[in-house]
Amino acid sequence: MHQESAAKPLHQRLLAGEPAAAEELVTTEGGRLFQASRRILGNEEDALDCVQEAFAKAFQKISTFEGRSDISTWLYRILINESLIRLRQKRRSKIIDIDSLMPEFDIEGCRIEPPWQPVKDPEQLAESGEIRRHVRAAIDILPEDARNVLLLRDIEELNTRETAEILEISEAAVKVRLHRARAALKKLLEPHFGAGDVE
Amino acid sequence: MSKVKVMRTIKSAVAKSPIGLSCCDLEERVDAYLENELGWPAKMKIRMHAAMCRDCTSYLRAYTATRDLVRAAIRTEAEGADTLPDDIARKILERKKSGPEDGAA
Ligand SMILES: [Zn+2]
Repeated sequence: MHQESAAKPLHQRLLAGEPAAAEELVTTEGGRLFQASRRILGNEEDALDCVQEAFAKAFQKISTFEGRSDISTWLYRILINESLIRLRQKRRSKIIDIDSLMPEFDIEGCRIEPPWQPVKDPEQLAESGEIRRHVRAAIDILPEDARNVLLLRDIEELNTRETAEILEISEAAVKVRLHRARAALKKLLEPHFGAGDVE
Repeated sequence: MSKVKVMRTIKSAVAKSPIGLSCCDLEERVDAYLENELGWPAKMKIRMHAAMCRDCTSYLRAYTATRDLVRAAIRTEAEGADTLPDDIARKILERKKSGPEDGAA
């Protein structure tokens, strides 16, 4: 690699058509993108397809990259969009009625809630493959709007503004959907914290 | 009157006072509370309510534990997938060479 070309920002070298720049981008970002797509989609095959699609799109529209954000952030966003599109296309056997999973209150506005007596903590539970399958299955039956927000906020750990930008919805909508998704998952997954389900 | 009923009566009386909060009010603020977005007075109201309300305490614990479980489970599930396989990296670069140049489309 030439000294003068290495000093130029990566996106400018990509724009100039330097083959080494493309290779550098794939080497430095490929693993991270693969893992993010794997988290969203839940399987490697789809994730690898999305990573390829994301790079193809990025190379095609590199001239639209304005250099205001990091190129890795820009690329990550393309990947997230690709992954969410792929997720939407996947056939689902069942989508839950999310309203039926919301917290319950009596007529006075008092909560009706069973006592919380977990046997294991979340990190320990996540070590069980059986539990991980339950978690993925619970996410899979959420309505799309709640599921997308949950994946970006709680799995990808993006903030409210970033999530709103990617999904092209308001920040208020992000907050409402996140709360519904979390409350639904609580209802679906809390039985697994009990003694009966621990391996 | 049972103990539970007495607690509920006290709780709803406090909820109606200016410093009070009902379980429903707490529900509306739960994410802002957990994400530390609330100011000090609002935070104190939630803590006061939770100190009196066993149901909301249980709820808050279960809610945060599930959120943490979901994050931990998905992160663990994707742990192995941290390197792009060589053949895929090659495919990406080959496709770039044969594909349309930027701006040509
Ligand atoms: Zn309460």
